[in-house]
Amino acid sequence: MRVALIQHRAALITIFIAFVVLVIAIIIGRDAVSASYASYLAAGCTLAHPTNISVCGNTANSFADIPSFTPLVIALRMFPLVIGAFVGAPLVAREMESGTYRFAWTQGVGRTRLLLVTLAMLALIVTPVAVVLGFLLGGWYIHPYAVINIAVGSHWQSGLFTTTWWMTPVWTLFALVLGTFVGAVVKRTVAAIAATAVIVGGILLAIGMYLPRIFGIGAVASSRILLNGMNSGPLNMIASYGQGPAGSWLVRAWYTGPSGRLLSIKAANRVSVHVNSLFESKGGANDPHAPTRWLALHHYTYWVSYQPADHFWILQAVVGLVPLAVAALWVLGTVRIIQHSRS
Amino acid sequence: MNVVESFGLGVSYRGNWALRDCTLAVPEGHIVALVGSNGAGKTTLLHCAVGLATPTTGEVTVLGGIGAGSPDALERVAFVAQDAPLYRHITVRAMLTVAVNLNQHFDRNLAEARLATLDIPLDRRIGRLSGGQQAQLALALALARRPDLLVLDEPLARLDPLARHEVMAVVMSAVADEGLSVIFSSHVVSELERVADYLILMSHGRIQMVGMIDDLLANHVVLSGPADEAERVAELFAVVQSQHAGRQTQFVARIDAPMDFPKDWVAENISLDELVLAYLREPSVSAMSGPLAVSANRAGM
Repeated sequence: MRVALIQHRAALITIFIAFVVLVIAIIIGRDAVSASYASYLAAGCTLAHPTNISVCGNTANSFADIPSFTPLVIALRMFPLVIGAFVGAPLVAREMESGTYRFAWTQGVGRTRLLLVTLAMLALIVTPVAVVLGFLLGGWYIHPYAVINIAVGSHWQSGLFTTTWWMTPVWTLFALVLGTFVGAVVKRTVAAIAATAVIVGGILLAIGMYLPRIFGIGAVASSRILLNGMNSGPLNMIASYGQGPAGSWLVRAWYTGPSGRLLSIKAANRVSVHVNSLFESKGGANDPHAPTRWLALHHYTYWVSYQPADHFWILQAVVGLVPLAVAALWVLGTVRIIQHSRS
Repeated sequence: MNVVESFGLGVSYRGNWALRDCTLAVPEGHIVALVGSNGAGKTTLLHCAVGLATPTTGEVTVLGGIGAGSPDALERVAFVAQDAPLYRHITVRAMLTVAVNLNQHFDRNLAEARLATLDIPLDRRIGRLSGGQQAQLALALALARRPDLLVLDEPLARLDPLARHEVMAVVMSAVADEGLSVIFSSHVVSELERVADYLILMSHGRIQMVGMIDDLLANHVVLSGPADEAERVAELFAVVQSQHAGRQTQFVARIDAPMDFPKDWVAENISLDELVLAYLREPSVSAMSGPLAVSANRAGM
């Protein structure tokens, strides 16, 4: 532990400062939303009963002074990148570049054990930091947003999904190990930092983009959910105001025809337009069952797939275990590289 | 026990052989000088011995058969690399802490005592120490591990004469106190005789000559005589190197036993400097290892 603290003191101080700044920003941001949150609760609106659009929706809209949490989410999403680039990448690269590996790798502890122990020590330092940040942002800070406007503050959204107290440390560890691996390959500190930043940034972006597809895994399909608009295709929205099981994430919608087969996009759009017109021209607003009756009459079925609320942590675990497994491979790869590294 | 043994050792970097066919056995209890021109393979051989380089062919063991670079070997072999690479951004005290944490048997008191003797302040950043002080620090760190074998790669390079003297004095003192074996590479041949008692000469990635320095000096002479008899005399000895100047010829020759020298020829003792230079100037004898190779090689000429 002391070796890691001594050798990486500058990086660790930087992390500590970044941690303090983020915590202060979260506390200040949470304080700013507290008044609005209290007013909202005073109006009788809670997360458990967010369906009263007329009261709670209007009340929520009146809070124009609620600051956006997006900058903080972006900052927290950058945290793994910073750790990977500025802690992981220099770990081996700096030793190789400066030649100090000739000292470090000939000590009694041995190069493999030294690498593994140093990585473990750094992981022990950055993981709690990431857990605390994830908990503060994803749990404590976002909660009022989720209550005031469930569609905005849902933890299913990709930004919040990847910054929970579980995913933040997972991606931080992944980036730390990936940076170390890249450093061992590149053997130049600045180049390793740049390469790690690009790779980790690319992976995090890709995860954000492909998360909707991941949410399709293990999704439940239902023909009883009736959505405004009855559109087909990707939905990627929280089941708010009674449209779907409370707290669930709506993934995708589609139509099936009389034969039970999936309708083509063109046909589905035609049906969708017609169903929508039922809402509008035939008093659908007062008769929400009109579209359902029309669909049943013509043997069409509207399907919606969704992730139930209780799937959230299962998906978190699955999506988090994959990078952890890959990180383990990076560790093995780094060990192999330094074992066969020639001076 | 041999402190370093290699058999058919070869190291290739992208098809270029830095070390080739090195078979070697260095007995314990010596201060071994590893000498050779630039690119001769000295550093590669030392890196193999401490586990920093992986042999492409052959094998290398230390301290009586322990695999070089194995955990057991790392515990008992200390290495000071060329230019003494240490963490320049931390203090000497922090460096000692690092060394304590990286070695099971690190004697911090010993290291601090040595540094105090050398007036190296513990609170100074390593990057702000002079080259000589950094070399001394690296040496103190290595000796505090109480190794059985100390390997030094060019410890005298970049040092002024006074610092050279001080570094080698510390090495000599450690050998006297601890009885450890030392292998060090150097370009500074003139100082070897005073310090080392065993020599390994390398050339073009091969071992050219190995042996006790006293034996090597006793087995070589400088022969001077008339040039018109040079060819005849050359057939009587294993000539390492010949030089012609006008009517005079000078041979560096190897002799296996006391013998009579031809009339009109003068035999003089050879200095270590002359011996090393003679071998380095004759890369043709480098195809075989050891001084015996000279006679075999010359006999075939």
